[in-house]
Amino acid sequence: MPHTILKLHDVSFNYPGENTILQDMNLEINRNDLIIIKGESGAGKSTFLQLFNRFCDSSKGRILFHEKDLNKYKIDQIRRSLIYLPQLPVAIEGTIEKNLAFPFSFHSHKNKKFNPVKAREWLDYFQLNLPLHHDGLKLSIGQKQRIALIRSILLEPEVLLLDEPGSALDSNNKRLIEQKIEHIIDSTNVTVLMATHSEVSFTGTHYRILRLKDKNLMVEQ
Amino acid sequence: MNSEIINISWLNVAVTTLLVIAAGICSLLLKLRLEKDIVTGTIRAFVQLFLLGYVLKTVFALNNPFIVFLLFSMMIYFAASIISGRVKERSVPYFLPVLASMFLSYIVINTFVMTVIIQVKPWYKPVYFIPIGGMIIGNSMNALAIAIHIWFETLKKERDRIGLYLSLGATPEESTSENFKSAIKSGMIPSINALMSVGVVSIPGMMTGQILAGVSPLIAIKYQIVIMLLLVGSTALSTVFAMHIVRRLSFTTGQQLKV
Repeated sequence: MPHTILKLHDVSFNYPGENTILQDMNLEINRNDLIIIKGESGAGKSTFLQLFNRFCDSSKGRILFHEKDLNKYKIDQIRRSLIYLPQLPVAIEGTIEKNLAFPFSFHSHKNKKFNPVKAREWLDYFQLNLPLHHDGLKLSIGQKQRIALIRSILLEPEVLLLDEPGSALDSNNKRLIEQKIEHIIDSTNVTVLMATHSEVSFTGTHYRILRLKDKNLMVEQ
Repeated sequence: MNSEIINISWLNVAVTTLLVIAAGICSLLLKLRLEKDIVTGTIRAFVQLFLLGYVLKTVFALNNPFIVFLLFSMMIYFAASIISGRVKERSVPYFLPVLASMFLSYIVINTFVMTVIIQVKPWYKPVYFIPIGGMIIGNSMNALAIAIHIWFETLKKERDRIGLYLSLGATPEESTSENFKSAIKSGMIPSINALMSVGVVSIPGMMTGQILAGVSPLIAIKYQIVIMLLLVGSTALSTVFAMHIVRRLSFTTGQQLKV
């Protein structure tokens, strides 16, 4: 029996005093699922992902994480377990190593330690043949996007919330990233929710495509 | 005090407005468009100082702790209004909390100076309490306005980075530690600079006043030293205190950045 990791019960969202963006959504997500959220730009894909790491708080309904209301968790527990990757990758001043290692200094990750050997392996895995001391600000957007992904993977979250991870990449690199994500899901326990407005190239059979349309989710595949 | 201090006649005060008229003419000739502000500023200075003169005269004569407290509170209220007028941030309503923090820190500091350092009796004696309190408020007000301005500016500029830090599990404090430090530092630098340059670059206002009133420069310097150190201390205390509150208000309970 697959373990349900996330559950949405009639979840709606609107910014205070503004129109509803997402309405009465219901969804169950199992551990190790790969969920693709498609939709036009402005359909609310980013908002949808941000409901899970509490960057946005639902205005109605409940979100359950391991059967417990998301609002009952401490924020640091949520952000340690469900990591959101913004559409535009942000690099901080310093080397690639610093860009990968800085979250390990946060209190919420105090039990983890940055492992440069592992970081190197992931860089190679994502075909980033750059030394760890390379300047993080001198990377291209596509490289920054991959660094951002590796940074999140190194923190070993339970759920990865990827907001258009291939948006700044050419089709070859986008396909590469998608292949790698699929491979990571196969080899680990991670659950991935990925927003995109373009076609995806996943080859496995266990992914689900949902479309955000008219403020709600529809099963597409 | 020297009772033979020269009293400037009102005619001579009026003569000094010639200098302001000269400034206005410069503005007109150079098309600086400052003439309106110069006129308004001059009128405001006259009216405000006139009122202040009479208010102080009355408050000094009454020597009543409640009246002193009331005047002091009004001064703090005006200072907080000036700050919130200068640094506008709709998403973070900081006026009341900052007013409360200013109130608390200035009351503590001013009372400490009155009772422990100057040892005035009674401790609320308005001749001491109000002017020294005024200096504390004026100085800290500028520091706070600068600190709050820098805080919001850097938050807006670094919104993406802060969002990234938060999404990776950082607390609001961790994600804005540098912004917080630079805001407080920027607020404090002017008072520290004043500490460095005092007596070399300028003779400070209070010391000038005391010397003109016939006080020995050796007594005046003691007051000045106390004031300078007091200003650095009160600026630091009130800025750090208020900035902690502003930082807390800049995030929601769900640790989302409001700005």
